[in-house]
Amino acid sequence: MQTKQELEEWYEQDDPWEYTVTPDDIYRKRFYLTVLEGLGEYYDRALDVGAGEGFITGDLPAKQIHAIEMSDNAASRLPKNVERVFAPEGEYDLVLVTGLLYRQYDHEQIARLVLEAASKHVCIGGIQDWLLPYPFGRLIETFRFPYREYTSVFNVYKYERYSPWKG
Amino acid sequence: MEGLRLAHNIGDENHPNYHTREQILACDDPIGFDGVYRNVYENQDVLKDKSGIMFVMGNFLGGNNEFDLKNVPKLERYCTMHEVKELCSLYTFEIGWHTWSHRNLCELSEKEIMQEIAAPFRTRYLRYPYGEYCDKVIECAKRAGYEKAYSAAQGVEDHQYKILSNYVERI
Repeated sequence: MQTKQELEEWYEQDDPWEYTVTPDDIYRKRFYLTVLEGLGEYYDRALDVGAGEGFITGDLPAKQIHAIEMSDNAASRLPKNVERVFAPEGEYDLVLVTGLLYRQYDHEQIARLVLEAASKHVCIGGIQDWLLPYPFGRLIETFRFPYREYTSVFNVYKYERYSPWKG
Repeated sequence: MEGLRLAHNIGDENHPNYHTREQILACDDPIGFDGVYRNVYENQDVLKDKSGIMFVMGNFLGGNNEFDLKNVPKLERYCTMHEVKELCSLYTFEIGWHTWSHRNLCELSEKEIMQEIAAPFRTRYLRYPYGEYCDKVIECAKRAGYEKAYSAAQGVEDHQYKILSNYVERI
């Protein structure tokens, strides 16, 4: 598992994943945001877990946007409309996790945190073959599209409080 | 959806992409609106008792048709996603997909085609940009799960992935 030190070193440079200049990532971002637009919601509170530098975070359709990001270097570059938090502060009607629920990360902790924070929609994105199948409620939409050399998946859950993972 | 007629704008411009309110009102067949242009939303009263499909393009939702100005007489705005959804909820129209960027799918790689036709909402219907399709595009449309795919070419062809559409009649 990646240490905080490794993460800080990775984020010494701007945009280390090259999201802002990679057509597949620009497409992926547009895809996510259009899905959210299609859900017809303008959320009160959104939380992006593992937000990085906020490539997607700053454009989430919400009045208040919080981001959880371990790396201080990455968090220092979050957009101005995004507030960094170190744990969920209350409930969020939109929780987003992209590229994080993988074996190489602390996925159990992340899933627990999502369940603690969610009150309405949970959106999980990532590479299909790597994404761990946590249930976050009722799956209301699932999308697949080619991404780099992989297939990317974007799942939208209606959070349900009785989820067995809560607690 | 059988016998789907093709339309783009509702307005008085003398151009194939424009139909008047009267022409739309006189059409008894389902109508597939490509765009979807804001003038369709502004003239939505003529959609009462009509049915059809609203084919949207992801990159242009809430934007304009500047990319297509060499083919059309003037700049027009497109509906936002919210407006298209509103039209579909108020009238007997379903939402369809007209790709993200309106590039000719036949000129793209398989990966690019699959990206272009991946809709960010649930839909059964695809309209090919410029009505252009080939075997590779049809295979991708099947793989993406579409039930039907429409060309913009005129005529009738009995194949669920190459359905031709005649324009709404000009009375």
